[in-house]
Amino acid sequence: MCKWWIPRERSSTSVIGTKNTTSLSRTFTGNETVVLILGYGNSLRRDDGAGLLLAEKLERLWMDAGVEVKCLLVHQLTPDLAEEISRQGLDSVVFVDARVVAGPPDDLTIHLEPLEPSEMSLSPGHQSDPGSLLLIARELFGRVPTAWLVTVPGVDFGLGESLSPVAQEALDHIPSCLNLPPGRRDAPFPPS
Amino acid sequence: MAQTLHIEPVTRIEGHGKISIHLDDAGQVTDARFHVTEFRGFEKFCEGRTYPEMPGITMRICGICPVSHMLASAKACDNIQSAKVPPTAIKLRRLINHAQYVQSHALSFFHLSAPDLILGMESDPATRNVVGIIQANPELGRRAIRLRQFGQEIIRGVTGKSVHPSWATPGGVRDPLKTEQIEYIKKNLPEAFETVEIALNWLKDHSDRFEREKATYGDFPSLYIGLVTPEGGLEHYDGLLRVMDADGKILEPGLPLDRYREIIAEAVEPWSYLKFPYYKPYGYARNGDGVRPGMYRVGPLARLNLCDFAGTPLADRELRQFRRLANSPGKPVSSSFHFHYARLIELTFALERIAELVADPDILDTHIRSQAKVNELRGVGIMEAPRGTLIHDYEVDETGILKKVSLLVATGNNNLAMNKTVEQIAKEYLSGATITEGLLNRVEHGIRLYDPCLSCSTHAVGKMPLHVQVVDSKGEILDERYRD
Repeated sequence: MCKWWIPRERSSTSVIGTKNTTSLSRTFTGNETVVLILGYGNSLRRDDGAGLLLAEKLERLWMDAGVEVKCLLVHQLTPDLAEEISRQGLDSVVFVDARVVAGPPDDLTIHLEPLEPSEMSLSPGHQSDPGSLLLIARELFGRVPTAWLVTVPGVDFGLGESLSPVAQEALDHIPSCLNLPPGRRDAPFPPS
Repeated sequence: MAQTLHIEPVTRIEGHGKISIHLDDAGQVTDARFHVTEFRGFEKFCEGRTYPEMPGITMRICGICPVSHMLASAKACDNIQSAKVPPTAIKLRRLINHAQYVQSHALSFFHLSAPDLILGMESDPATRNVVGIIQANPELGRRAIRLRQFGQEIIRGVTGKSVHPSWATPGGVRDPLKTEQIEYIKKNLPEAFETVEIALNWLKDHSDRFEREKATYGDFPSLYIGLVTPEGGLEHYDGLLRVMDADGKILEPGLPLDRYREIIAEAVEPWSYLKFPYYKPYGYARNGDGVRPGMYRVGPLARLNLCDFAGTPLADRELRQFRRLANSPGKPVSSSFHFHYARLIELTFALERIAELVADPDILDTHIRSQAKVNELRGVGIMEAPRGTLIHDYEVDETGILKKVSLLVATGNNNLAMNKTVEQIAKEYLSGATITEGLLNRVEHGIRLYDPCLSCSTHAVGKMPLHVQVVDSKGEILDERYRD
């Protein structure tokens, strides 16, 4: 099951769309990359690497469905990715990350939510966040595609290469709304 | 009443790192501690594996300097094999190491430090970030992005991936360079040089604005440790270990790398998991003045103090100007604020070396790997990572199983100096027990001068708010604030 968030100050139509929305009726030519998947995390920190694994799964899934996909797997988000995000011809960018949960009764499914450019974090470290990257893309390159965040629940971020049962279970049950990239006109949408 | 001020970033890994500033009963700063409270444990994690796996494993420690870990590890493995690495493989390793300097130093200067420098340490935090830079100077913002991208693309093109390139291997590298990669580099080098020159000119033109920062952001006597070439030149990949004291006297002119334990030892403190390396002959204990004589600095500032020359025209020209920043002629440049300038000089140096390497016809040679088995039971690999000296030290059995792994990372090497820097900034800018926005920024900037890699273990989700507490000796919170 997909979890959807409707951001305040945006209508559900403009975010999630309907099958007849103009912004979602773009014809895919097959000659260009239209979806960028950006998976990030540390594959040595157990569930922190779940986003990377899901990104690879989504790439295969969507390519098999005939979608032009480019997948980038990175340890952490850095500002230079802004140009990649703002590239002409890109319809959407899908960030794929791990999400910290405490375990039951928390929701242990894969989540999907729309993203918009957001204020910069004042991180003293090297990492950025999706909203900041979108903001850089908009301010610097003048273009931001539709953006989404997909998250895999994780409970164990210790050293290791295997996933916790929680993360593995979620990865084994990718929700049907991700059978195609979010926002595609032929993608299944949750009830309005 | 003695008080403690805590400045604590909150990330998804509990206790990622925090800063506490200790006050005495009179409210004066007596000490500062940069805590790293996350247990890393990579060394134990690696034991029991086979040594050829190590370049691939250790490069996954860090998203910013995976190349340094990969190459230090590969060098340690070379020494376990006693392998003679083909000259072209060494050139290719150097090429991606220089590319890593480009991307890492660009990130540090343009994206992390420039907002403070250009917009002001006391400016509105809502705009004191890279977007603020972009709005103030869009062209510089675009150039900064492209400069980092240039370094990343070289790494991606040569190794196949920009992060976690399992490309260096014991005895050499896996893949040769392709002609189109040389063409990409040659095409984009001119703009990279221009961008660094713009930054250098800006920093020099605005130098007068930072006189107070130069005097208080880590301006103290310390030792310096780093690599130099056998001739004494600036070196990032190999060479010999040199040690200089605060007066510029050379204590060790050139120690072979596998003997590093003769000069470096590590202390531990109960309040941090990050070890405290020190210059072994001078010990860890404080002297009568409360100073630790064994404290040393590594990284761009140290490397430029240690070398006799850079070895490339533009970097040598800048190095001559850099030397004039010393408080006394002939002494090393002692203020950590000059890490910024040193970083830009090293960016220039890296670009010049990249230009040399892609002009070398041997760079396309396909003999890039030697094959060997275990010939030595210990292998040491030492590199200069962008943020300082990085040491990988492995012990194996006859079958190549790792019995002991020791990693001494650059951030650890600067641990004592970072503490001292925070203490100096707090003494200068803290008034009473109230943590102002300005103090927060300055303390963070003081840490950022060393470009520590604390996100090596994981990445943060979303914003990284700061949680600041003023606590008295009984644990009562006197002041507290958050910034997000």
